Amino acid sequence: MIKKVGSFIVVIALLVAAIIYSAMTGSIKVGILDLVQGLFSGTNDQVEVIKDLRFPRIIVSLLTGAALAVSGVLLQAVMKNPLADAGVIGISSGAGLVSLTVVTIFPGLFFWMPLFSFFGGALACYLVYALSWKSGLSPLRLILVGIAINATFTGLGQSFNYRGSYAVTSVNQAISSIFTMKTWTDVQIIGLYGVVGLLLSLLLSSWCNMLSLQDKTAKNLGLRVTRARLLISVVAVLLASVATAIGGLIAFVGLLVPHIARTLVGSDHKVLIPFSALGGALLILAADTLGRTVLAPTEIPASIIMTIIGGPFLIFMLRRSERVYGN
Amino acid sequence: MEIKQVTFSYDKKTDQLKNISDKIEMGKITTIIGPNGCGKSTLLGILSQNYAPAHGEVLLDGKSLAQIKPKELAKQLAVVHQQNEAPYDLTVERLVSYGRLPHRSFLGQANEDDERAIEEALASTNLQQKRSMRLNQLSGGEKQRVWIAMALAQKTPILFLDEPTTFLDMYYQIEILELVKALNREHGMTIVMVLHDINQAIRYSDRIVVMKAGEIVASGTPEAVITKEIVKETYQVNVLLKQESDTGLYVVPIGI
Repeated sequence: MIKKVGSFIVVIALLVAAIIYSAMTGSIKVGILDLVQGLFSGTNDQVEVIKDLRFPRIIVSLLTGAALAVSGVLLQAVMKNPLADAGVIGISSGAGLVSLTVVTIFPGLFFWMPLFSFFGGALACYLVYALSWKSGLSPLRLILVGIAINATFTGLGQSFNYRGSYAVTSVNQAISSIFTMKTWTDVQIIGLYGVVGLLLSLLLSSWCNMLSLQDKTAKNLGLRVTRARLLISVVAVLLASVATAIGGLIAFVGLLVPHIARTLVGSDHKVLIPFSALGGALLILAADTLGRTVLAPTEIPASIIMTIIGGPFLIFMLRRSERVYGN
Repeated sequence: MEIKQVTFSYDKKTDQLKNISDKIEMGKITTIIGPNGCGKSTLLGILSQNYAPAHGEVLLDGKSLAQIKPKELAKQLAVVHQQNEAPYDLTVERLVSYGRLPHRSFLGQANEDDERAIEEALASTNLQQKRSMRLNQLSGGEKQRVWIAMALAQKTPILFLDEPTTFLDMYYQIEILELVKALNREHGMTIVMVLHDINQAIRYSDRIVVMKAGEIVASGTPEAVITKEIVKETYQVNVLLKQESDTGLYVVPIGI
């Protein structure tokens, strides 16, 4: 109990610190006092620039991270598999591919990108399910099928790069997750869908808890297991797709954050889901801030930083995955 | 409960249950016995609506199980499975509290009834001292009692137990069976369980259902059902039956 409360306090404190630091540093540097004063008075030009450029970026990072981490928790509950992550098993790349295809063909539909993302993510999720289901979901088969699907969608997405058209740059930017160009419109989109998804996932937490027992036990407790799985999957795909549509393709967040969160606050989804949301927000904001300050003025996208951290972590998880869902 | 001409198959080729009909008497302890793979657990699964019969139906208070909503059924009937899984860090009290979920609305919070049911379940399974322990800190017998406690927290008139004693040593076996008997005698619970040990079945049951190859060979009181001939027919084992004043009826296998 003390560990749980302590973990929440620490992660919230770190999050606040990261937000303040991220707002202060970069190509324009301001002190914390100037920042606060400027925000209230509206007369500091530098602060106005930060408000227009850096704030949307910070908020988008936070919500992207929270959405991806919670999406991971939900997928892991539904698939009873600690390795399920929207990025690893192809949901994000499916979301990215479908929304890209549609937006490239019909650029006027840009505002509806989250919707197409959702269809793409749902398609990938369905394929992973259908192809890896063999009287149950074995963790290894799921991850192998997921990686294959991910590779397919990523490959199709990258083939856009070789069409030799000048539209390439903009398309490339849309999937490679640079938070640079984020505006308040992006904040509105991810704010709406992301917050709805996060609230829904909190409501679904007791179902997630029941699914962590066996299906027959959950059924005997009065849960409609298939319906619960479907609804939780839909929310997970919604969160992953909107994060991909606005934040770009970022893998491993849904793997790393829930795992660490479980060791800190336990596997009760009523606590795990909010904690993972905070942890995911912190991780992506930290990755993005790091990416734009370490080699300034060059930027390393958050997605690349996550891949560098996430790859070794996946190996670590694979080696100990048998122990996570014990008797 | 009434079982009416139930047929069931996992693969739609061979029938695990063949046209079974019987009655489960309310307020009694009924034990299903039979050799491995005879359909005991399948029958229990059908009775708890975990499987839907291909033909026939099961009636609970005159209503077909298929027509009862899952949540309503979970208020009528609780099941303890042979093997169970749960996150290793779940505490005893938290797992037992899951038994209250059928009684809550989607967003409902725990109320006094829930608290009381959880306390009673912990008390009757003798787990009050262990309430804040994690599942992976418990012995096999204690774990089994936790799952029984969860089922008791559901406050159902009917309790099913699928081989509750199989993986336990003699002490814990008797402990569980005495608990089952007390639940029946003191709270009037209807109990249906699957057992492997014929002597335990005789000792703790009001009625015994003997199954073989998906069919019911005999059902009735232990004295009526357990005969040399029936045991030979179902298990292919020769037995001696003894009846003594201090032990009651018991079975000794003497060869095959």
